[in-house]
Amino acid sequence: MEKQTLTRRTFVELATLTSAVAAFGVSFGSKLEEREQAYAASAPERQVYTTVCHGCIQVCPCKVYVEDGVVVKLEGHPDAPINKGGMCLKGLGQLQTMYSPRRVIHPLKRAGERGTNEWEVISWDEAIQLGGEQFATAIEKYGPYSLWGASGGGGLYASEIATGMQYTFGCAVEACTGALQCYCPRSSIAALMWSGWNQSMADSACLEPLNEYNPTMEVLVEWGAQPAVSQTAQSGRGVADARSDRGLKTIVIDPNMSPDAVKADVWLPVRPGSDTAMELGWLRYIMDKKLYDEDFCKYWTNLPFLINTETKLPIEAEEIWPDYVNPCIDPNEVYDTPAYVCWDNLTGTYQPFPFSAPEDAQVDPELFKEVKIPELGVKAKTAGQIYWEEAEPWTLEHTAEITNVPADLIEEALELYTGAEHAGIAHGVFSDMMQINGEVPLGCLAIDFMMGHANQPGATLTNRGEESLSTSRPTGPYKLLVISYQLERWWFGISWTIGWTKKQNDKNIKEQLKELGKHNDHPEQRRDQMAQAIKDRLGVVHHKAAQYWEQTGPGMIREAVETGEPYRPRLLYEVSGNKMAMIANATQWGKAMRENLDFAIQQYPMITSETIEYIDLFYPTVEWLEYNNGINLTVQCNTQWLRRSVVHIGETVHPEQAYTLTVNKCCDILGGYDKILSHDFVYVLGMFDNYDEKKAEWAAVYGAPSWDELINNQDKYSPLVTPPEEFWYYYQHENIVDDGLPAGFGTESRKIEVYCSANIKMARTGFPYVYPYDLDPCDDYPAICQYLENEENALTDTEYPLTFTSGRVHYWHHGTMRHCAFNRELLPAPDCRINPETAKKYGIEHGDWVKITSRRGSTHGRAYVTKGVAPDTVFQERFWNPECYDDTQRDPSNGWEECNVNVLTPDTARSRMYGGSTYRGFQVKIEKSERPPRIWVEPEEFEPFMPTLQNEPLTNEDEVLPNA
Amino acid sequence: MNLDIQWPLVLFSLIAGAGGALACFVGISELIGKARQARFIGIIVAIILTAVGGAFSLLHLQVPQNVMAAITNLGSFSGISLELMMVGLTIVIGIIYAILIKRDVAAVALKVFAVLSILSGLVLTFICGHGYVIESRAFWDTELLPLAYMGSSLPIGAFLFLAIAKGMKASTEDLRGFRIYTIAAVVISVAFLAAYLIFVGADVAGRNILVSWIGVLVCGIVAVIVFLIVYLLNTNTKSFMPIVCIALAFAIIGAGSVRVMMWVASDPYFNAWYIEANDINILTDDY
Amino acid sequence: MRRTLVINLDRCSGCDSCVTVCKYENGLQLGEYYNRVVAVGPYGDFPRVSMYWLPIQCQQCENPQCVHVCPTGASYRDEKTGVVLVNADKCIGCSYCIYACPYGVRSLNKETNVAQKCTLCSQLTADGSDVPVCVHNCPTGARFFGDLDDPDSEASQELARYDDDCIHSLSDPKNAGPTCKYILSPKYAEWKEIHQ
Repeated sequence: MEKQTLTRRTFVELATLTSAVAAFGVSFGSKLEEREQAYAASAPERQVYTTVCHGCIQVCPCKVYVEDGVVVKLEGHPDAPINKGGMCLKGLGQLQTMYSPRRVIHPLKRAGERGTNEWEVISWDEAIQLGGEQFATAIEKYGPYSLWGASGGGGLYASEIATGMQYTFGCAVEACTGALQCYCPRSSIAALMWSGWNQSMADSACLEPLNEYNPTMEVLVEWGAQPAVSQTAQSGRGVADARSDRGLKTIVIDPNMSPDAVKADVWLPVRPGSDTAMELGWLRYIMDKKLYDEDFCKYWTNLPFLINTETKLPIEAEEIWPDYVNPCIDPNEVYDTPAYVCWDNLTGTYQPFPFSAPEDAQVDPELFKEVKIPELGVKAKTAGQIYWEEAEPWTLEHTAEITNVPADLIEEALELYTGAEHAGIAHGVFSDMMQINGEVPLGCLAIDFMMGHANQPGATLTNRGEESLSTSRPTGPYKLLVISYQLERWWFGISWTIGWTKKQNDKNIKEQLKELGKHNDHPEQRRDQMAQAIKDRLGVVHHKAAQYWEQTGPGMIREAVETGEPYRPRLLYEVSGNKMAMIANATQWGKAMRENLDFAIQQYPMITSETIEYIDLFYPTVEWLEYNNGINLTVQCNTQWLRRSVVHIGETVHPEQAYTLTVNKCCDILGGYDKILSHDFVYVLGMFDNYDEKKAEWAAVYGAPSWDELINNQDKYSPLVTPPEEFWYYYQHENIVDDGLPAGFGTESRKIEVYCSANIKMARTGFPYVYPYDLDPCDDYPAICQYLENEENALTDTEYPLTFTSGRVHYWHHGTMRHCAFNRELLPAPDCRINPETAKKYGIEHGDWVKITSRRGSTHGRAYVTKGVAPDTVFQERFWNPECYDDTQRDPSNGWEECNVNVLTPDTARSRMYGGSTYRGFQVKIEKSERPPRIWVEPEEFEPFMPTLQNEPLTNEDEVLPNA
Repeated sequence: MNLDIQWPLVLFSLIAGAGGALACFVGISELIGKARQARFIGIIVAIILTAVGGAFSLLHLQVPQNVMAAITNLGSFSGISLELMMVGLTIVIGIIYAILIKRDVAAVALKVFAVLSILSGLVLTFICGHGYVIESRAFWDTELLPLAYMGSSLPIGAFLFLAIAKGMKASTEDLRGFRIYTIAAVVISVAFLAAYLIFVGADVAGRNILVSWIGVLVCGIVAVIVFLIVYLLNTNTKSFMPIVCIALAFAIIGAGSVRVMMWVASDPYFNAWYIEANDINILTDDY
Repeated sequence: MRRTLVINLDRCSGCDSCVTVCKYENGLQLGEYYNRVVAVGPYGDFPRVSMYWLPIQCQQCENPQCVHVCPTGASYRDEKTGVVLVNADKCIGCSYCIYACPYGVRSLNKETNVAQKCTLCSQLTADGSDVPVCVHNCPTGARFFGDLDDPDSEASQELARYDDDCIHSLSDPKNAGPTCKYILSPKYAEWKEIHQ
């Protein structure tokens, strides 16, 4: 074989001279075991392994067939409880992407100008040295605020690196496309309202539709959720089974007739961005017709609490009656269960309403009431009353007018939902991608809570497993496997635990500082420094809600990179694939990064538009068939499955390892681990520098004595199965705990805070994220769902007449798989879905190329004319075109402008609570156009994407990375 | 999805069909006892055309190396088997007939082979189109299709034989003896071409104006009729040869065009992989 | 025996996984398919519209037109299983079976030029030990494989769960006898007879 005769030096020279893409497939022999030696020439020997698919954020166990060291077949694992042998084309596509000619299998250093796609192959020693030097230089010259991390969508490996960087170095910002625009708003609002799981199906928060052990759900509302597309073989399968086998009825609220909408009993094609109107319409209907669960609302929610109309906070009994003794006071002063005030129907007066089991309550609380409180000199309203006043204008007719959904259809949906005993809302990602991303979850949660659909069989809001059972008053936000701010902040003793007294919180902080002291000197100073970094986060005063996941709106980062104000993030560590296609206002973003970043490192398995635009150093990481992890995305309902490497080619590394080695190198250069804020934090979020230790940890999770034993006898240890009766728990809040009271919820009131008073406190001080520090106040956040439109909307925009929306398609997850030939031949270019009426208006026919233009710019799609979207709505999913920089192109581009909807999206239309960008629900116009240059559409054109790396030697794991 | 035009099959049926039709007219010449001197060369040309046509059909095969399987499986009586049989039969009859002509054997034997030539030639022209009578193709599923193949071949045979006869210095009297048969050939051709054109319909035929309207209608029908009349008015003039040759050319264009038009009208009964938007709005990913 | 597919359109969400998993298993190239998924609709008046997906592959006809026109006997219906197959060694690539198939599911292999189509993964299923990969991997559990003459087969069992008004075949005016069955309940969408 000719390639083996290349010496390393000649190879490097060669690779520098030739275009990078062509050279990546070529390998050199020094560190790699030759497969020819490992496998004697014989008939193919077939081995079958079990691992877990990583084609999306979900967890589909699968079988992998390997012949002579090459993966030849994938199939779903028949014993998996949800996918039951199913595997979708996103996962199957790994057969091609694993061996794609586009994979990078050696570290690369940029050789030409940014934007030119010229690279030099370097060794890992050189790569880590260069990365570490750049980190150290930036810290020395500009301080830690010059560093920043960026990660991507859910399911990405090691996305915690970007968050972790802030706590390791004390840098101030991170850009994670999978947070503010995906899941952070929905999960944080739920965490504050009831300290439990949320309504996201894609994130495995809502599992009851998949419950076969105790199948009770009657009606599922998929509000902008499309499990059939997002996780076809997992929650898509679960819902298909529930519909077909268990008679589940579904209501789908989605501007697009998604595959789930196709199957729905009622489809409400809501105008993009008008969801709060729909929610208020639902809430009004429920309250007006008294369809809510009255007992649940009275005794398990804060709806009957009297809210001080001036402070907007619930009145505590001691405020009115200073001598009042709260029966729930914890003599140990650990837990705090305040007594609030309600209007008591028994006495016709306002009375203290201490926490108790419903049957022990001394009052009959009224849900809807406005009273004067002479003792305080204020008016007070019950939270229920506040809700009613907000919802009152939203009759079905008014709701129909604003949402563009006929009133009778809305009523049909409401009758179905409210008529079911076991029902719930699955709330999709859509609202996170809009300016209404705080308001919509408030509404979706309020609807289910008012109906009593919480901790109930067949509800979407449930909590599972042992961790949902509490022996003492629950505190929050209860982790419940949901990543929350507390995961990071505990390290420094920052943050308030809801449900604890101030005394207990202070005590805990002291203990945490002691812990920190074991890793670092001057722990108080380091905590102050970290707190200052949080306070210095861009936009933190206005967008405090983003602190739940340590986030900063990408638009603000872009502006700081551009202007250097108030400081310039200079050194980027990028963990994800292609920001150019996934982040709003891509044109401005790319320009800012290309022109202003000092240095950018990316770890990923392949070169993307982003890599070409502004990356300087590239760390090649493994694909999922090469990935070991015992705990990262391994849980499917009550089973936990080992993720294991089945094959491994090239000098690709575990994504959780290269970063840590870079941090270590940076510290070496700076003169010690203590030269950065807190080196050891790298390990907190799962990163490691010692693979063997990590493997031993994972083995222990499965009860195996060693990693080798675990993978050699995998079926003996994996999956870990929780007996269903110890997994599917309900009514946990009713269990009596050690203070003799029902457990309740991990909120301040120990009840479900449908009136989310934490939001009010948050706007004023940063509660509960920065204790013992305060953030400057901003305008109050809403405590309940309020009607809000995105900045650009169809009601007011006359220049751009069409409303744009987006949503996933079956063929890929976020920005992945555009280099998978078999998926691309099925959807070579993005469908621009428009209604026949709209098509006619603009002279567009099915299959025509169209140009879509917003105030930010223009891009293309192919018209898919369908009654599956409303008139004047445009639906197109994110796309990018790696063929644009294929060697065969005479006039290459970087592939992100041709068909990329993020050329259209605004990063200045920011949500008030979170500061995220707007990805859906803004205004565009369309016209017929020509096929943009370079785009492949015929199946045969994708030949250059067909796999070529099957003959790469298998990697000798021990020799890839320099010693840690 | 409509099928691509299969040129080897167009040429096969056109050339072999011409061979069969020519064999027909050689036989007619024998039966009516006219233009004797043209018969040998005529039958040789017919054999060559049939063989060349057959060769074109092999060109269509993607895996000709497996062709023995077709020969050993003639009993399937599939379209291709029948075509193969008729090509072989026409050639064999033609060769024997040619030998008999050369040996100048008894008139009865010659007449028997003349009749056999007429029959096999006619059947060949028909069979060349009969394999396409397939239920799954809406515009093929009619016996009008092979009849149009047959019909459109006949004027080629007629005019080709006349040209050969003229070239072999047949007498004017002899040539005049073929008028009625030439008229019959043209009438049959025009009738079946028109009938198939009507069956396919203007919409579908109109997809390819050059082939349907110019090729079949103008050349294959109108021009052939015009030149038939011109020929009938000029059986004794110096213009006979050029007129017959022009008529022959139009007949060839007409016959070739109807074969191409068949591929243009190859709509499947139900080819769901490639259905495009239609009245019930079925959309595929293939635009 | 009538081995075939039963496809439950109440479950199918049009994800196209059956298309690619088939290509991987059967070594098909770009542009080659044994099956495709067609979107039927949406039809009706917005917003009360309905649609379904129709996965189409060889219908395993009892009276297969493709076999009738084959000049070499390469296309045949397996006597034991009822599965329509192509013997590549006998195929001359004349394409008549492609012309004759009422459902357009045959094509010429780009490498070998012989006719090809869905074999129900006979390399896996011939001995009765496995199911086609599109059935095994269907993400929504919409595909069932088995012998319609065996009431215990998975295919028959799935059909037995539905009333007659939910069970459909592709249009068959010429009596090709497709054995593949589609389940589509009226509550999801009205079955459309599709032909040109």
